[in-house]
Amino acid sequence: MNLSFREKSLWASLIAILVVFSPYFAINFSHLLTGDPEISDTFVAIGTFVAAVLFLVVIMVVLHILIALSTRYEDEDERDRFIELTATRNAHWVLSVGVWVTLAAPGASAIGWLPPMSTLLFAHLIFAAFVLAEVVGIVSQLIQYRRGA
Amino acid sequence: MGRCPIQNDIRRLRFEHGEMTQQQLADRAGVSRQTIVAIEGAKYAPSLELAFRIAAVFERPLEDVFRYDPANA
Repeated sequence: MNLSFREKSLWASLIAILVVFSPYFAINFSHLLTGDPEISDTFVAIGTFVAAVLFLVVIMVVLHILIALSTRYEDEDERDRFIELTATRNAHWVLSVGVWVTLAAPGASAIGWLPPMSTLLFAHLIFAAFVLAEVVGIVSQLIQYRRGA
Repeated sequence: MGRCPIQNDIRRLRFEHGEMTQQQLADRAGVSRQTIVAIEGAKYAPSLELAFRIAAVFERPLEDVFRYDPANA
């Protein structure tokens, strides 16, 4: 498969996000929902978050250096901008739904549909919506590049 | 995304201009090779400005390079 610089860059971002945030959310949500006291600590949560972001940056920098060494860079043109705009629209919908669902979660918790919600769980849900929206945006771009849009 | 209603003769014009490569056309039109591939395959409709730039590379009027095909609209 002959991938352009932009496609490789998108794949690198997608891989980095999945590698870092899949375990991040899996661990945080499982512990928060079961009420683990250690991970419910705000300082531990902030430390884990900062470590995850730093790890993400390191992975992305390394992958992009490798891509830059092997692939010719091309400036963004109108088709790239069109694809990015379409992907941003898709990501926006996911983010909107994610934020509304998160805002509704305390209500669902109050009537017993969900376990009791801490402020930390609420923050993680909002952050998860942002990450999911980013993933949808990247996947949307990859699909459009493959289709030749 | 399927085929778009803007069809073109870019492949033939490249051939008539000394076997111009897609990369050469892309460089002269100021876009990526992937964009030329998408336009040539009628998978992406270029902006009016880009359509004029491509026509200018071939030194032809716009309608010699692009045409509207309502059947694909």
